[in-house]
Amino acid sequence: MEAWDLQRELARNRALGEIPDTLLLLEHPPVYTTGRRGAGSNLLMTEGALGAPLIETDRGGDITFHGPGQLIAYPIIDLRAARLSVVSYVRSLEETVMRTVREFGITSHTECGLTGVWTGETDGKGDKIAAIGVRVGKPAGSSGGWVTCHGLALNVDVDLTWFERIVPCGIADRSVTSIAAETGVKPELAGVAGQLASSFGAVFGREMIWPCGPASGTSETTRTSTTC
Amino acid sequence: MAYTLTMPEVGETVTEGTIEKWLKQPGDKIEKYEPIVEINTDKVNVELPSPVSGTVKEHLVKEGDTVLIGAALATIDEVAGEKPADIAPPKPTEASAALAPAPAPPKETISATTKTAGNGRDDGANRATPRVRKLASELGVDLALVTGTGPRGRIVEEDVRAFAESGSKTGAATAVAQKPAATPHPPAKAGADEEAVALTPIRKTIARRMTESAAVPVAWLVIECDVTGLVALRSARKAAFEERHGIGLTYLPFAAHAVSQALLDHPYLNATWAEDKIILKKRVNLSIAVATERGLMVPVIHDADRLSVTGLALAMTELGERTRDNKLKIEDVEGGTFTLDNTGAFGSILSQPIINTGQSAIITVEAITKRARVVGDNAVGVRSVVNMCLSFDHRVMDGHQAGAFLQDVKRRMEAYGPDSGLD
Repeated sequence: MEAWDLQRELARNRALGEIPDTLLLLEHPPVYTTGRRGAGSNLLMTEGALGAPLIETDRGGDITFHGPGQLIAYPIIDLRAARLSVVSYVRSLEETVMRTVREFGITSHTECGLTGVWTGETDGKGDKIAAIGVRVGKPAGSSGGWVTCHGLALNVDVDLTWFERIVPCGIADRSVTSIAAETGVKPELAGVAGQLASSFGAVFGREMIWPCGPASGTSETTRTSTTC
Repeated sequence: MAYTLTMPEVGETVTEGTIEKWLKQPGDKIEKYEPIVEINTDKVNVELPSPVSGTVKEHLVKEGDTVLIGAALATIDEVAGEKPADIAPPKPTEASAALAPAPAPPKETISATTKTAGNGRDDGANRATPRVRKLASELGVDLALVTGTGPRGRIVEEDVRAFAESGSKTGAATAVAQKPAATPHPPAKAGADEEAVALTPIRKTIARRMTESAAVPVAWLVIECDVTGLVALRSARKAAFEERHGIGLTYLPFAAHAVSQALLDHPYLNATWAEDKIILKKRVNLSIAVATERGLMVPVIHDADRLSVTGLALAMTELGERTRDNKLKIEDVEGGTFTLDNTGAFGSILSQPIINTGQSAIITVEAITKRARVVGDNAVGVRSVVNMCLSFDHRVMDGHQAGAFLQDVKRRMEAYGPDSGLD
């Protein structure tokens, strides 16, 4: 919840032009989240038996899991200042993830109609290695910028059994995977965070600056921004 | 009078969206730009603001409904006299459509996909009348990027105004208006015995800033300083300094000290051109050019005038390390008022530095060399000399102020001797 509040605060600051575009990188304690449509039939057991809280959020997308071993990235970007359309932004996020996992030797692809990043090269095959759920709005309520919230979740070394208690993102016939499951290597989250930030910089054409140094541990938000 | 809220265009390939949640119910008061409904498209939740103020009258669609672009969503009894705002999320432009190149080996030439001219033409000038071109130049709009809505793609006044408003404000605020792109040719492709190197973000930034600086009318002055005393001073103190502070003692902190002190007496060198005025900066924030393998970076020592030679040496070493380790903070690269560049490190004896964006001057310290010079009335001796080269913005000052500043710096550089204090 703290992260959610932090995002909204930052989004408002961004819309008011008080801070530059920012990328938050963090790790959550175990939680299931849904978009506005709720979990509905995508819960495979009762809410009480899940083992982690179930929270409705204001992002797009269906039910998913966040927890230790998963890298969460929340870019807080003013789309209007960046001259990006909403769709280009989502596609760029997917591209960022694909470049990041490529560094670990994983090929991946995106599929029309199924937001997220899937392993392998063939549409209709492969497992989901990263989920994407984005919100766009004008948090300052003024004629200012359109600012993004939420973003993506990349499975690094997360315990995949958490996903067996739900139908992730409402997609019943595909599985979920992680960098560790695909490669047998368990990279440190901080290292993957650095990778992702670099890829983000490359895809979005930005210079990334770390005000506090790259995350040295989990649950630390690191801020990156553009000097352009 | 009821205003009808319709579904705006959300993205170039998106034709419909689903109503996620009504944030305002019939009977609720609403302010212009206050969020009224959440719409889900392609896994993105867009929070739509109301274009008008008033009272929500009726929902024409309910949560869970899928609606097409342009469909009526709700009616609002609007407050009279207000012009409805444009509430569509940002639309893609030519530049952004090319943002995410297809997955490919990293060596792909990204440079070819950025900033291609709108409508695939070379520059916009041949699509606009002289009056429109003049307007574009006044608003700082690059015609090559504007999509024309006139007949056969001609750019009309409205296109230029809309473009200027829509976000030509990307990038750090600079006092100089954007110069229209000077390249009429599409970028070259690498040939058979050539290699294309993709542009890193830092390279693109440097290129853009240097291009902006190229629009500044620059004049250049050089002065030679006899630093035989400084060389002796450093030789004498080097070992003890290193022992005490754990870092080497170079000539740069001495130059930085001379420059920072001199700036206090020559304010026009520590200023910026602001179109209709000159802004004199009260603080002396010295930008130091640092070469890294990623490219040139220019971190800032704030209030450099308050530091001694020792303090400057420590600050420079610390900043240099953090720069090379990619650990700079925002504050480290902001607020610089004057730049010092140690071109002497390359062995250079004369160079023409480019003024940093937003500043009015930049000085280099060239290599210190031993030369034969006239000493006394008519004897010749071996002296250590160093050139310091100053580029300055001739809109802000004339040779008079620039020269006076250089004289001051020279005097200080030549005053260093074996008895000078470092702290």
